[in-house]
Amino acid sequence: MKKPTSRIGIFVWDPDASLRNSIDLDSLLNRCRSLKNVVCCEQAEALPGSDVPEMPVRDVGDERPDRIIWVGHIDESRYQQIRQTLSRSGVNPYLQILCDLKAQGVCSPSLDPNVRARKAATLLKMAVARARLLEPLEPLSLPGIDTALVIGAGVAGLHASLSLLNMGFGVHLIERDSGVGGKTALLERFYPKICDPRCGLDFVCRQLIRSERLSLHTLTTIAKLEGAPGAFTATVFQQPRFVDSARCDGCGICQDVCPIRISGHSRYFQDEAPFPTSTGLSALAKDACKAIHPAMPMRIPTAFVIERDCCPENCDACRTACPNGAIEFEQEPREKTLDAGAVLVTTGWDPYPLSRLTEFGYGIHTRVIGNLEMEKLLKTSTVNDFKHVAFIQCAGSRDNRHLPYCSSVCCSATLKQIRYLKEQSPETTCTVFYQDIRTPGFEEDLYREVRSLEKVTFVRGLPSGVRAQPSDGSLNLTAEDTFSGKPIRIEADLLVLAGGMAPSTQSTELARTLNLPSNQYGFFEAHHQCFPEESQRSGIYVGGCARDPMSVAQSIESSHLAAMKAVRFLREFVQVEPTYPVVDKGKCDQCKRCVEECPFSSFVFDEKQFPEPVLTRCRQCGNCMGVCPLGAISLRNRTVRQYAAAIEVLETSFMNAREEPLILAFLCENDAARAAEEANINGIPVPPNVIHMSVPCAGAVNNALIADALSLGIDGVLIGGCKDGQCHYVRGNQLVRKRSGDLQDKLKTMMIEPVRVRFESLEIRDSHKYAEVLKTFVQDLKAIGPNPFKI
Amino acid sequence: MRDTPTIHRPAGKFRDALIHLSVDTSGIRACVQCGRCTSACTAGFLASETPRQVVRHLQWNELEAAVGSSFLYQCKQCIGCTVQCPQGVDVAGVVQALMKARFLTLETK
Repeated sequence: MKKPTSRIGIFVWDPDASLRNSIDLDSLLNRCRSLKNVVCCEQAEALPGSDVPEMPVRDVGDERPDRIIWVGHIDESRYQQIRQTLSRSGVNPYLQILCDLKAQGVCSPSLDPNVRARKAATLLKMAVARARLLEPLEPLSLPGIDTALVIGAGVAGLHASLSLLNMGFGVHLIERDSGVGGKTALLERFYPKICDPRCGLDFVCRQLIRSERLSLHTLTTIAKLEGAPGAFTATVFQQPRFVDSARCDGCGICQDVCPIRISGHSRYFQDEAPFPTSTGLSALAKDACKAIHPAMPMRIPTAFVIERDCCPENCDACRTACPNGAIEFEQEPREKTLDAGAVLVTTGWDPYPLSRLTEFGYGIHTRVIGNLEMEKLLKTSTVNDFKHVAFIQCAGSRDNRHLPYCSSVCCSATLKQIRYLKEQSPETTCTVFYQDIRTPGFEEDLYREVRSLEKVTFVRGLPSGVRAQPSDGSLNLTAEDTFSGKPIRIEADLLVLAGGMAPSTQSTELARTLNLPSNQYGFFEAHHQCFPEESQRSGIYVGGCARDPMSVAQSIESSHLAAMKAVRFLREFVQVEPTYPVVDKGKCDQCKRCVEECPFSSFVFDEKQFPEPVLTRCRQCGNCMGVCPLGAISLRNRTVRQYAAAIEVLETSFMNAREEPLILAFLCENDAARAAEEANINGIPVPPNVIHMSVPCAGAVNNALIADALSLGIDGVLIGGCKDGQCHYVRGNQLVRKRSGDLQDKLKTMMIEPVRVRFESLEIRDSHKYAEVLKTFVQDLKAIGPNPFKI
Repeated sequence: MRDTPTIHRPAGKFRDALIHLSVDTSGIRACVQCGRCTSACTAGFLASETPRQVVRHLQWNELEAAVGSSFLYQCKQCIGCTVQCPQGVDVAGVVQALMKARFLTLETK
C-alpha cells in the first residue's frame, strides 16, 4: 500500500499587516508553494472560531490539506481555540503547528530586510520539515479504579477520606493504631477558637462511618505498593486485634476484669525514658489503661483491642467475662491486598524526641515536660498547683543541631496553652522564653490577647539550661533579656518545652515502601509552590504534616486539596494526553538510563527487558528523550526526528556575513521560551542571529541534536532552562547540565570548541536577560570564529 | 618613680585591617540574637556587655566597639556559647579572635 503523502496547508494570519510591512510576504508564500508536500499557501482572512467553523481554504479541490501550519502571531489561548475548532472539522489537533515569525524576531525593525526575508524563509522551511513528520494522535483512556487508598487516619486522612466519599468514590483508610484520630485527638484544645478538637473530629467520623464505601483498616501498615496510577495494588499487613470486631459491642466489661494496667500508648511520646511520677504529675501524659482497652486515640472502631504482649500467661479473664464471646486469642496477623486508583499519604508527624535536648533535662528533672504532655496536664486539676510555669520556645526547632526548620505551630500552641491555663488558674505566672514569636495571619490576635493577660511575660532570649533544686524540684532558669542585655533569673514550678515537629516514623518507612522521594528533612514534597500536594510519584498525593509542618487547619485544607487531585485517577477512565514518550525497541540497547533519570520513576521493563513508560505515571517532560544516548525515545508529537529534520533544513547562511554567528536555542516552554517570545514581541533588542525551538523541558534536549546542529554548521547552541530548584519536573535543568560533561568529550573529538554549547537559567519574565545572554554569546562566538563545519 | 605606660591604639584603616585579618566575621551573619550564648556563658553577666552584644557589634561592623568590649576581659573561653549556639556560630572563636586583635592593636609608648 502506498503511504499517503502529507498535504500541508500554510495559512498566514497577519491582521495588522506587521508581517507584510516587514517582509515581502507574497514572494515568501510563492517560495513556500514550491516546497515539497505543500498544497496551499494562503493568507487567512479570518481565523476559525465560533463564526468561522471551517478551514479558511479556497479552491484546493481534492488537495485539501491534512496538516496545517499557522504563520503569524496568534495568542496561545486563541491558538488552542483554533485547534479545537479545526479538530471538529476533521483536522487532528496534533497535525497543526504554529510558526510565530514575530516571536522569532523577524519583525524587528532594526533588522536588514534581506536577512529578515531569509530568516522567515528558513523558519517556514523548518516548520514544513517538522509538519511532514507529524502524526495524528488521539487522546487515550485507560481504566481507573474508583477507590482511593488513604494512609493515616489522623485529621488529614479523615478529612481527605470524607472529601472523597462525598464525591462518590470509595476509600480504603489505613491506620497503624487501633483507632482513628491521630495526634489531633490527643490535643486538649486547638487554636484559634480554643475549642476541643474531638468535637470536629467526631463530626467528621460520624459522617465517615455512615458511608458504605469506606473500609477502615486499623492496626494496618502498608507493605508493598505495585502498579500505576489508576491501577495500584497495595499489600497491607494487619496486626491481630484479638477481639472480633463484628461481635464486640464495646460494653467494657472486659476492661473491668483485666488484671494488667499498662502505660498506654507511649508511642505518642517517642521517648523511651519512663516518665517520672514522683511529684504528683503521675496523672499526667501517659494514659494508664488496661491490657484490653478501647481503640485509641478515638473509640472508632468500637471493638476493643488487646495488648497481647502485656497479658500474663494463661489469663483469660476477659474471655470468660465477655458476654458476646468476642475475644479471640487465636487471631493471626493477616495480609490483604487492596486495589486503588490513587494513594493519599497523610502520615502526619511525630514530636521531636525532647530527651535529645540534654541541656533542659527532659526525662531527668521531674518538672520538665513537653508541650504534648502539657496538653494532657491542662485536662487535669493538677495544673492549678503550679504557680509559675515557664515555656521555652524553639526547643529543638530552628536549631542546627536538631531540626533546622521552624515547626510553625509551636508558638501558637504555647499561646493557646497559656490562654487556656490562665482561664483555669488566673493566678499562675507564665514566662515565655522565645527567639521570635511566629504567629502569621490572624494568629496574631491570639498573641495580642495573651500579651495583654496579667502575669504573662515574654522574654526575648533563650536559656541554655535548667537547674533543679534538690529539695523541691523547682527549676531555676537564667536567660539574657536581649533587649536590655540584662539577666533574667526566674524560679519556676514547671517548665514546658515547645518541642518541634519531626516527620513521622511511618513516613520514613513509607519513603522506602512507596519509593517516594522526600526532602532533606524527611517530608514529602515535589514542587512546594506550584503543586504542593504532589509527590514525586504520579498518583501519590500528600496531605497534612507529612508534607511540611503545619497547623490543624492547614492540614485539613491540604488534605482536601490532595483528595481533589487524586480524583483524576479515580474515574472510570483516566485520560492521558497522547503526547507520551515511545521507546523505539529496534534502536534501544537496554542501557536503562531513561529508567534511572526519569524524575517520576515512570519506566518499567516489558517481558523482553525493554524499558516502557507507564502512561499514567508519566508527566511527559521528555527527560527520557533527552537522556537516551541512542535517541531511541521520543515524545509522540515532538520526536527527535522532527527536531533533527527541522535542524537539517536550517540555512546557516541567512545572516549577511559568514562571520555573523548563528545560534540555535532550545528553550524550556514553561519559562525560557516565553521569555524569548516576550522579548521579540515587545521589541527588546535581541540579536537576530538566533532561532529558537521550544522543548517541554530543558532536560528533553538530546545530546545528539546538539551535535547534529553543530556538525551542520550552526555556531552555537543555547539551552535555556529553569533556575535550580524551580523546574516543574524536579530537576530537568540539572540533568541537562550533567549530561553536558559527556557532550564535551564528544565535541572535542569533533574538533568543536565546547564553549559553543551554553546553558542559561531563564525565568519567564527574563526577557531582558535573554537578550543580554544572547549578546554576550554572539560576541564570544565572534571571538572564536565561525564553526569549522560552516559552509 | 617609673612612668605609667600610656596605652594608645592605632586608629583608622590600619587598625581595621589588622582586626579584619584576625577576625573572621563571616560566621556571625547566621546569628539571630537569641541570647543562648549569654545564658550559657560562665561569665555571662560579669561584664557590662554580654557575648551576644559582642556578636551584635560585629554584625553592625562596629569593630572598635567589639574590640573594646569589656566582655573580652571576662571571657574564660569555656566554649559554652559555641556549644549552645543553635545557629552554629563559633562565638568563642570570634571572641578569641577579638582578644588577639585587641592584643595586636595595643601599643605601649
